[in-house]
This record gives sequence, C-alpha cells and structure tokens, in this order.
Amino acid sequence: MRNILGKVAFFTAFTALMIFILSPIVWILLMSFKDYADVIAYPPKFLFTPTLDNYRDVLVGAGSDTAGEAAQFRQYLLNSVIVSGGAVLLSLIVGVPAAFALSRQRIRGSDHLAFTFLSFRFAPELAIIIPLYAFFQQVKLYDSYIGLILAHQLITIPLVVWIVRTFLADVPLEIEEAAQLDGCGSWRVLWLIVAPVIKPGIASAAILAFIFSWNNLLMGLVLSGVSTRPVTVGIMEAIGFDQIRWGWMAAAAMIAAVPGMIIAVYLQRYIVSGLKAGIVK
Amino acid sequence: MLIARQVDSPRHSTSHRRQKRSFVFMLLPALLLIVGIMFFFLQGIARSFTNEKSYIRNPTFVGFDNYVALFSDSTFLVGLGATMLYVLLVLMLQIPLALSIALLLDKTSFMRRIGRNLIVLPLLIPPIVAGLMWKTMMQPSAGVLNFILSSIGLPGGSWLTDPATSLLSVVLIDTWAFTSFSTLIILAGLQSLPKSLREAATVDGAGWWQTFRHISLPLLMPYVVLVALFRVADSLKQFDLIWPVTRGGPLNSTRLLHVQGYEEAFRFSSPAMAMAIIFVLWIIIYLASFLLLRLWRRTVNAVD
Amino acid sequence: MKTRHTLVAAIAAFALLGSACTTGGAVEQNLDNPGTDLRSEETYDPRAFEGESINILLIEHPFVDTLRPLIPGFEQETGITVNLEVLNEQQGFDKLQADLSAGSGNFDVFMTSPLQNWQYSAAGWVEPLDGYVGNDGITMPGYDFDDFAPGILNSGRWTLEPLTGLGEGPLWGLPINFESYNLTYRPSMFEAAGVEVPTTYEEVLVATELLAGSLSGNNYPVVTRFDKYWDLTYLTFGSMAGAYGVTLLDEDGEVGIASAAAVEATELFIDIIKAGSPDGSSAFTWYESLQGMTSGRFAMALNEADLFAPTYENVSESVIADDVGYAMIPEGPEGRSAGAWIWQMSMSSSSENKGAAWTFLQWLTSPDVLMETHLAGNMNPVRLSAWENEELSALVETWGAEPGQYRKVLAETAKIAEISVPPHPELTRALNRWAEAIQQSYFDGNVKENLESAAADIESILR
Repeated sequence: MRNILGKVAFFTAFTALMIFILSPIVWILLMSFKDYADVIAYPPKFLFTPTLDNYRDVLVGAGSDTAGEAAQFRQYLLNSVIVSGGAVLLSLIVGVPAAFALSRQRIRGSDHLAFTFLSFRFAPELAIIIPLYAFFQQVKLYDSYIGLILAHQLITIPLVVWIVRTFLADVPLEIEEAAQLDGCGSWRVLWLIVAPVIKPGIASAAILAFIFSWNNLLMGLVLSGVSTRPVTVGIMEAIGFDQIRWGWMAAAAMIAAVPGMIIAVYLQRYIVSGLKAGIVK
Repeated sequence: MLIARQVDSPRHSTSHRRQKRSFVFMLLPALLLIVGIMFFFLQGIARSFTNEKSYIRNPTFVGFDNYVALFSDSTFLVGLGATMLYVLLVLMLQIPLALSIALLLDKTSFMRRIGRNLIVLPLLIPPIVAGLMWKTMMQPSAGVLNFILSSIGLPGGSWLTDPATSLLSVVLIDTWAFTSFSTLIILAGLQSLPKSLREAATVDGAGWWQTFRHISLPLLMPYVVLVALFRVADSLKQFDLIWPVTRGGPLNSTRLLHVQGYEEAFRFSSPAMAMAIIFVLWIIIYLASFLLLRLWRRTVNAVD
Repeated sequence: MKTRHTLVAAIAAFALLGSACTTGGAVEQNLDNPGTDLRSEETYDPRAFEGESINILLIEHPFVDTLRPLIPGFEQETGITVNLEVLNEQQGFDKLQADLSAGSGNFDVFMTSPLQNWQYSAAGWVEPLDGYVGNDGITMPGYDFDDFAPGILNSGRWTLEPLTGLGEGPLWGLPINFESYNLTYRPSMFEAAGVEVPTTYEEVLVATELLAGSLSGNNYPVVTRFDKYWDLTYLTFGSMAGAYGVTLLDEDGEVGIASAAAVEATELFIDIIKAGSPDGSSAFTWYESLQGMTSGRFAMALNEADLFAPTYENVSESVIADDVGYAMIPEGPEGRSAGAWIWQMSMSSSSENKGAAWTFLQWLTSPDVLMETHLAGNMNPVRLSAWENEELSALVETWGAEPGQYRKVLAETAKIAEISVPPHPELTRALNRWAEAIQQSYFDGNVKENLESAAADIESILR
C-alpha cells in the first residue's frame, strides 16, 4: 500500500517538474512554427498547421525588405561563433598551462591565485565592462572581435582554470615523474602526457565556457557594434516595443538557444562533470 | 579542497630550475590577464570619485559626492531594496525547491535519469531567451499562462506589468532558469553521503523525515551553503533576466543595482555615477560572499 | 600575502594614473564653424559627393512614411546611397545614444529634437550646421534659409550653457515639422451624449463623466498618453501643468513641480484618466493614443499632438475620418498653455561623410521636398511659405468638423506654443523623474509626496 502511494507521489511530482521545466521551451517552440494568425489567436491554439515561415524569415528573409535583416541575423550568429569560439580557444591556451602550473608547483599563494580567478565569476560584469568601454574606444578595439574575445576572458578563464585544476588533481603524479626522469620538460609533460589524460576535463571546461560565453548579453550589449554584434544582443534589438512579430521572435530565440540545447542533449555528461568539478570539489 | 603537492626533486638542480621557469611561463599570460582585469576594475572605481559625465569636458575629483548623492536618491534606494528583496525571494524559493528536486531525482532509475538530463536544459539556454519566453507567456491579456490558469479555475495575474507582482514574476523566471544549477550541486552532495544513509529508508526505526533532518541534512549543509553562495552572488548582480524583460520594471520595481548601473552609464552617460553604483553593489556581493564562505567552512568542519 | 598586497597597491596606483587618461564620452569638438571649407569657391553641384553612402536613423513617425518614397529620387539625383534605419522611439534613442557615445560614426544623420540635442550637443556629438548652411558650394540656391519660422528654427540653437541660452548659439539641427497640442474630439459621440466640447480642464472632467455614462463596451471617453516618459511632462501633461502656472523650473529657478497648483493639476489629470480611460492606459504611449483614436474607440484625445490630424483624416488609416473635430487645448486657471515639439534632423560630429550628409539634410529641408512631405501627411509646416501653397491649404481646409477648423485651431495654438523647459543635458532625465512621480500617484494616490520626492531628485539632477 505504502509502496503504491509512494510511487504515485513520485510520479506526480516528477510529471509536475517536467511540465514546469519543459513547457516554456515547448510553448515557444510551437510558437515558432505558427503563422501570424495562429500566433495572435486567443484562446491560444495548441493544435495548428505548422509552418517553417518564421525560420525562413529569420534566416533568409521573405522579400527584399527582410532579406537584409536576415543577412544581418546570420551575421549575428557568425559573430557569436567567432567571439565565443575565439574566447574559449584563448582561454584554453592560457588557462590549461596555468592550471597545470598552479596545481603542480607549490608556489606560495597558488591557492590565492586560483581563488582570484574564481572571484571574477562573482563580480558584477559592468565593473569591468564600463572601464573597458572607454578604453576600447581609445585603442580602437570597440566593435572588434579581438576586443570582445579579450573581454569574454572574464567569463571563460575562471571556468577553464577551475575545472581543469580539479581534473588535474586526480591525475597521479607518478606518470609525470617518470617522464621527467626521462628528461621531458614541463611543457612536453603537459602536452604529451597529462593533457591526453584529462581530455574529458578539458572538454568539459571548453563546452561550459563556450555555452556561458554564447549566452552572455552584457559584453555584447556594450562592447560590440554593428560589425560584431552577437546573436543575444541581436534578439534584444528585435523585441523592441510591443512584440508584433511573435513568430519571428520565437524562431530567433530558438535558433539562439540551439547550442545550449544541442549540448544539453548530446554533451550532457561534460556539463555535469564540469560543474561538479568546478564547484563541488 | 585542493592541496598543492610537493614535487620530489632536489631543490636547486638544473632540471628543477628549468621546471620552475616553465611553470612561470605557463602562468604568465594568466597572470597578465588578472593584472589587466584588476587594473580596469580599480580604474573604474577611481572614476567613481570624479564627476565624469558625457557633457563634462574636464572631469574633476569630487570625493565621496557621488556616493552621498546616491544614498539620498530615491531611485537608488528603491533599487537597493529591490535587489535585497530579490535575493531573499530567490533563496527562500530556490533552496527548498532544489533540495526537493534533488531528493526526487536521486537514485538510479530510468525516469530519474531522464529527469536529471532534462533539468539542465533551462540552464543552457541564454537567459535573455528564457526571459523572453516567460515574458510572452506572462502577458496578462493574451498570454498562455493566464489562459491555462483560468481554465483550471485559478485567477490570472498581472505578472510583469504590475509593480506589486513584477519582482516576484522575475524571481519565478530566475527559478525556472537557474534551479537546476543548485539541484546539480545538491545531487552531488547526496551522492557523497555514506551509502548506508542513502539506502536505508529509516535508521534505527526513526521515520525517513527524522533521518533526513537530523543526519542527512547536516551532512548536506556544505553543499546547501555553496548553493546559497552562488545564488546570492548571481541574484545580486542579475541583469540578463531584467533588462530585456522589464527594463527596470513598472515604476522601478525591478530596477536592481546592476541594471541601474547600466542605465546610468549608457542611458544617462554618467560613467562616474554608474561606477559608484557598481562599486556599492560589488561591496555588497563581497561581504555576502565573505560571510557565506565563512559559513561554508564552518559547515565543512562540522561534517568532519 | 604581502606580495599580493603590494601588487594590488601597485596596480591601484597605476589605475589611478590611468583613469586620468582614459575618460570616455566627451568628444573634443572643433566649434569654429565646420562646413565652411567644403567645396568653397565652387558652385552647388548635387553630384559633388557621388558614390558615398550615408546611414540615417529615423524614429518611427508618420513623417517617415512621407520621406521613404522620396529617397530613390534623392539617390538618383545625387548618386549618394541612403540607408535608412527606422526604430520605435525608445529603442531608437537608445541605439542612437549608444552609437553617438561610442564615437563610431555609424549614423551620419539622425532624427532628433531640441530636447535630445541638449544632451547630444553638450557631449560634443552633434555637428553645428551654420557653416554648412552658409556655404553656397554645398547648399542649393533657392534653399531660402530665412523662410524658416524663426521661433521654430531657433529652438534648434543653444549656447551649451546649462539652463540658459536656448535660441542662441550654434544651430544643432534643422526642423522638419512641429507639433503642438489640442483637444481632438468625435462630434457624433458628444452629440449622442448631449455634451458640449469642454473648454477648461474642469469641464473636461465633467464631460468625461457624462460621456462615460453614455459610452459602452470597448468605448471610452478619453485617451491620452500616460507613460512614465518625458513626453508626458514635457508635452501632454506639461501643457496642462502650464495652464496651472506650473513649469519644471519656476521664475525663481526653483523646481516647481510640487507646488499647490501642481498638485491640483496632477490630481485633476489623474481623476480624468481614472474616470475616462481603460485599465492599462498607464502604459499608453503616443502610439497607443494615435491608434486608439483612429480605431474610433475614444470620444476625445486630450492634449494630443495636432499633427495626428492627417492620420485621423485619412480614410485608409482611420475610421473616424468623417467624424473628427479639433478644439483648442483646454484652459486652466492661468490661461491656456501648450507645449511645442519640433522634430529635427541633425548630423553626427563623428560622421565620415559629412559632405554627403549635408547634401541630404539641405535636400530634405528645402522648400520643395518639405512641401511634398506635407502634402503626404507630414504636419506641421516649419517654413513660412508653406501656407502659400494652394494644394496644402485646400487639403487642410477640409480637416475638422467644419471647414478650416484645423487651420484656425493651429493658428491660435501657434500663438501660445512654446518650449517651457530649460535647456540642460540631463533634462530628459528630470522630466522622466517627474513623469514617474505622476504615474506612481496614479497607483498609490500620494500625489504630494511623490511630487516632492521627485522635485528633490530633480534638484540634484539639474544642479
């Protein structure tokens, strides 16, 4: 008796949770496939004939007026890829060796350094962005990929350093020591021996860093201009006043959420292990 | 936590020196980055002590004037209150919720595994998208949320359009987007509990709740405090969920400090005042993190 | 630890030095008449800047629809490519400000008003135009600069001194239309309810209550904008406040928005809204006002822009085209007062195509082109010669409940229309704060406290 009650309770709670988590996504997904009449219909329609028009409007445009806008949106997507990809790449190049050095060398204050990295995650972004805004204008880095990639380090480097550091702690030192006795310098130890072992950790860090960089709004909102605007800012531009173009907005939102959704579905384990490593350990 | 390990080679051998040099080079770019970030941060703080605005040709040092002006400005004070209230609501809502969901999804089973996989989804969607999704659904007259509520007999709400309910509505969106983060941490904590606790439905004949409250929960405290640490900091500096959704909300009801800082800098072109607001926010976050970290250490020691 | 502290201290010192150098925002501007040396000694040639391209930011407004069809003609005549970006007001001004403050010169020409320009010109982001106007090498013969109504043109001048100097100094923008405020009403609804068109604000409240009784369903007596935005306190409610003798800064230069007369006017305004407007009207922008009136749902538009008339009279855009009348803005205890709003076009000081930008500006504000926009619905004319145009006069003659009603009201309103706010870079902020207090009072009824709190904040903004 108790068992059945318990099972029913679980099932109810579980379903409620799933509905809560999934319904906004499902609703907007549905909206992105509705034509204009269905979108503004009240009571809201759950059954309708789907159309790909919104996605077409967002990505390709539906005539000479919107074609330019669609080209702009495609550019926003490309910009996000360049900035986030570049930021992660730079963070890996800078962060992995740093994490290695921090965990292997008992430099006084290496823990302090690591904590400094972590503290960046807790700081309000504008504390750095506002000064950078003025600085970038002076050195002509405003609205540039390099500028944005550098600015995004504030987000990506702490993630990389912390997660990789944790994974490094689990690597037994004996392999490294053996290699060192064989005459390998630290760089080669890192590149040839350690890195392959912590590949999952690096992957986790890279994926997490990429997604948080992609999802970021403030950096692009302030430091990007017409040429480098990322897709999150692009969506903000489009919502404007009173959303008249619900369908367009829904499709654009879905597209912007694609990296996150792909990662959630296929690369899940990296996310979870990365978060656990970076925070819990 | 991580303890740096000692490398077993003689202190000043060439290979050791070479190694040390390599490590320095490995750290150098990261160190430069840290120095750079701190430089800009401190420069920003310095600016907050000037009267810099877009139309002031030669900004001058004004000491604490900006800060004094802030604390006599009603908009700032309302925003400060809203920020604190936001954090409080987030903690009160999300910690029990995360605990419950973690308990629900703990243990292995097919459904639970699916659940654990799916709850990550809101976390990975750009917050602005999450905000827009909910803004659309929360539309009072045409939105699907009120429609569903009314079809099951519950009253609809004004959600984001009424100053009285707007902050709570944003907290709801925040809960949707970020509770899975807290849940994952607590799940990790649950997994670290001794096997005996996890498997036994009861201990010594006491009910499950008793066991949980007196034994499991204290063991979980470090993780709960960790969750609180992250949620408090993130809530204090919330921007992405507010700016595209309410722009500071009907009548300043959601004008959190980070949002005010943005407006001050980019709508009113007063970078000095903006940095003053941001510095105040930073101090609040610093204090809160400091206290929570201390609490965390205490709970960790209590566990051991 | 100690090393770390020294390191932080070193960085801090460096940062302090650095802060002296990198202060952003203010642009060093050459104020000695730019534009005079472009193509000097040469005669005007529309194709002088052929091949260049300019970006123009426009604010969503009936004017834009009248401009669009004329652009291809301009491009053909001059060989300059024009890229228009049209955004709604809030977004547009946000984006414009972001662009101007970054100094990127993305927009060469932008739609603006004296109010916005006070902020932009003080920061050095706007190009003064006198040099361009006076340069015959780049300004068409027949431009007739003196044809602009002096009051309207000079509202674009400012000496950059806070709180004074409006109407003098460099010219920051050229006017393209001007707007004042009247009471637009539906004769049929008033007749059906047996109500006279009100002439004072007290009468407006009485009329509202009577109309509320006779209107039903989705129809309401009053529509007016009521957003928490400067246009409320500058223009629509601002006009009403003026009729009570209330202005942002009174004659002694003190903030006057919380005086007894101000409280009285605010309370009356809120009473009118509560008696006659639907819920949610507290978020009405001019757009909702316009849409509301053209949809036929409202009996009157209170203190709304008179330049909505072409839209009201246009059969394809409104259902009230043959049932709309115009009356003078109501009177208050201190007489009649009406605000003035002037849309202008300005040039960015960071533009890299100033010659081409000026070619566009002088083309747009030339008598012929402006007239074409007026005939297509861009009201009200800013050039004195405009009313001599027979087509325009005939068109306007038909507007209103009786022939010539619109023109008559406009002429009377023009006598009292004025900018009653002092020039200041942060004036929009002060006006926003005032509007916020009024909106808050709508929700919580504490008119006096809200206004006093706003007055205190405005005091620190403006000084």
